[in-house]
Amino acid sequence: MEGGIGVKDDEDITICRCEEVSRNTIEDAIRQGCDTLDSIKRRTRAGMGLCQGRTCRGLIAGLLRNRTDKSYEDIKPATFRPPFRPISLGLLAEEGQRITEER
Amino acid sequence: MGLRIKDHPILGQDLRKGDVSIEVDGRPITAYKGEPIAAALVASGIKTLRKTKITGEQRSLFCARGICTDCVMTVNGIPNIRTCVTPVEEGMKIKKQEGLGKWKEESE
Amino acid sequence: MKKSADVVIIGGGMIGCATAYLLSRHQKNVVLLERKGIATEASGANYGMIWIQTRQPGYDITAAKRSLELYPGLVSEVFDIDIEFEQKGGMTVFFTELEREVAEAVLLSKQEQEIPIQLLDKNETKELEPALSDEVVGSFYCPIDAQLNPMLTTIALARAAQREGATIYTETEVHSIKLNRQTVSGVVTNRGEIKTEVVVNAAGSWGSQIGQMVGLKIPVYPNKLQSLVTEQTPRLFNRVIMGTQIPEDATFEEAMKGFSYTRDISEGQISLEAPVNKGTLADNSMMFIKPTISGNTVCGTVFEFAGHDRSTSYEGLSLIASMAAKAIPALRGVQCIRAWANFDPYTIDGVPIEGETEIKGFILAVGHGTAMSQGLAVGESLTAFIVDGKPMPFTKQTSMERFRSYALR
Repeated sequence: MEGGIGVKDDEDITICRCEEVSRNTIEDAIRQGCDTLDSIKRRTRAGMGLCQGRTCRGLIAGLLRNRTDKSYEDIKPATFRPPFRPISLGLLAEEGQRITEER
Repeated sequence: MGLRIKDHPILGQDLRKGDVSIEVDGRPITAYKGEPIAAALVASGIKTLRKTKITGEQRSLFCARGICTDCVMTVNGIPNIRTCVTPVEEGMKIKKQEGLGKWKEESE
Repeated sequence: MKKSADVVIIGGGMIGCATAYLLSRHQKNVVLLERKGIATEASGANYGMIWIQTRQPGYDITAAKRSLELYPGLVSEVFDIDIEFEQKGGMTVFFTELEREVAEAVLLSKQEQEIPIQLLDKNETKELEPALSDEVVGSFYCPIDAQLNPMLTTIALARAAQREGATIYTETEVHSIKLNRQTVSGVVTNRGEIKTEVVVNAAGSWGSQIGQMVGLKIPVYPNKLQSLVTEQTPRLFNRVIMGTQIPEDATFEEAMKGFSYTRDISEGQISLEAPVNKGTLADNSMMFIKPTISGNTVCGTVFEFAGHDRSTSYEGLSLIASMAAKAIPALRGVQCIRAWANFDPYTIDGVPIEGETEIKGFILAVGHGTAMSQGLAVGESLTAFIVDGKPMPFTKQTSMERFRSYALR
């Protein structure tokens, strides 16, 4: 996927470990106008992985604070959404089937 | 076996609660009953738990507390199992996960 | 912030960004105002379907076909990011004989509209999608239907617009619109004022709030959709699959309605007020499952009128999961990692609201429930209208005027 995913040189580091998004990629996105965690997420996929940003969002907030005039207080996290941890569709579907059968 | 704690200053000496046999990429390993899969693997000298999808980077324990998902492996045919918080079970078959792993009934 | 603009577009979704790009190729000074971020609302939360098979005659199919025509050129010549455009066709699966019978009845009218649609039997369906459950009795398959990543597509259009000279301000909220004798003269935002004589209202399901700023009552409302996304897996199925969720005990006429997005309102009383929920969430569901390039599977959806309340519910997500698992049993073992809700813009007849109004310079482009698949054509017509004065197409269907005749019934 375009966006320079992955660490390309020795100076770069991995920020979003789940989606393999490097610091350079995120800083490029910031330079191109992404100034929220949300917009960086949409542009680079950082925060979309299996851990849903738990590991990287603090680091990305730090990059934003370093590269823009935003303070930590200005930086809003992505909306907190269910599920709290991954849950199989099969388990969710059991409840869905029960609801459908009851109507 | 060098990483195993043999004599804990508070919990004492033998922490073993019994043995469990598991298999990792075909290799039999003896684990302690009730311990996380990753603990048994790391104690056996296995460092690489998986390789990432895009760059093929090797991953191991990172947060070691069920949050970062670096440690996920394919367990009994199911990928993306967090080995640092999943206890070993007798006869478990564990595979180093390559990228997304193999799922049942994929479309070819 | 810029002090003046030739055109101010309100809304950073698909309609706003497509219009900003196409317009800025002809107009020097285009400003787009987005109160949050590009593609943060419906345009960043949908299934990215560029479908022809569900289209209705007139505006609906014309805008969809034109947009589909324009995508490949943009992908190869204009966009500087990969929007994950795939044209593998689209499929609507049937689980009951009723659905299959209705499909047969609808087939001819679809073919008359020159939609290349095929009615497949069980075996032909499974050949295209081996992972489908044995409960599927047949399907509609349209080989020209396509899919893409809606977030990246909207972002790609925004970037293209900026390259053509448009200015985009995010986190910039419009507070009021200045009028000079029923003519637009400027826009007041939280970051300052912009003088302009043309404002395009591309605020999606917030279109009525913007309309109120100029004293217009625009009957567009938010229709909340819930969705969920799974962990990444190798591809389990090949293309977006839709399910009508028509109940087995529905009448033939009721079932016919389940086959299109637009609503037939030729009979009965029309209310232009906020719509109310009918039945339970389970009664208002439709299956959409989408395999993405990244390996995540997106699943939807349940419909609800709840204003702009963004919450998801256990009920909604369970219903979505059961629809998805019924169609693709292998999904049972796959984990959901996130869910969300977004607002499809809703109009009483399912047709968007476009064009000029009695306020000179205030142009509507709201109510697009399928903006990804029509937005390019909308941007094109708005550009022709603003730059050359060319009348908007299908005004009888899309203009605000039509609501006057509904109210008179």
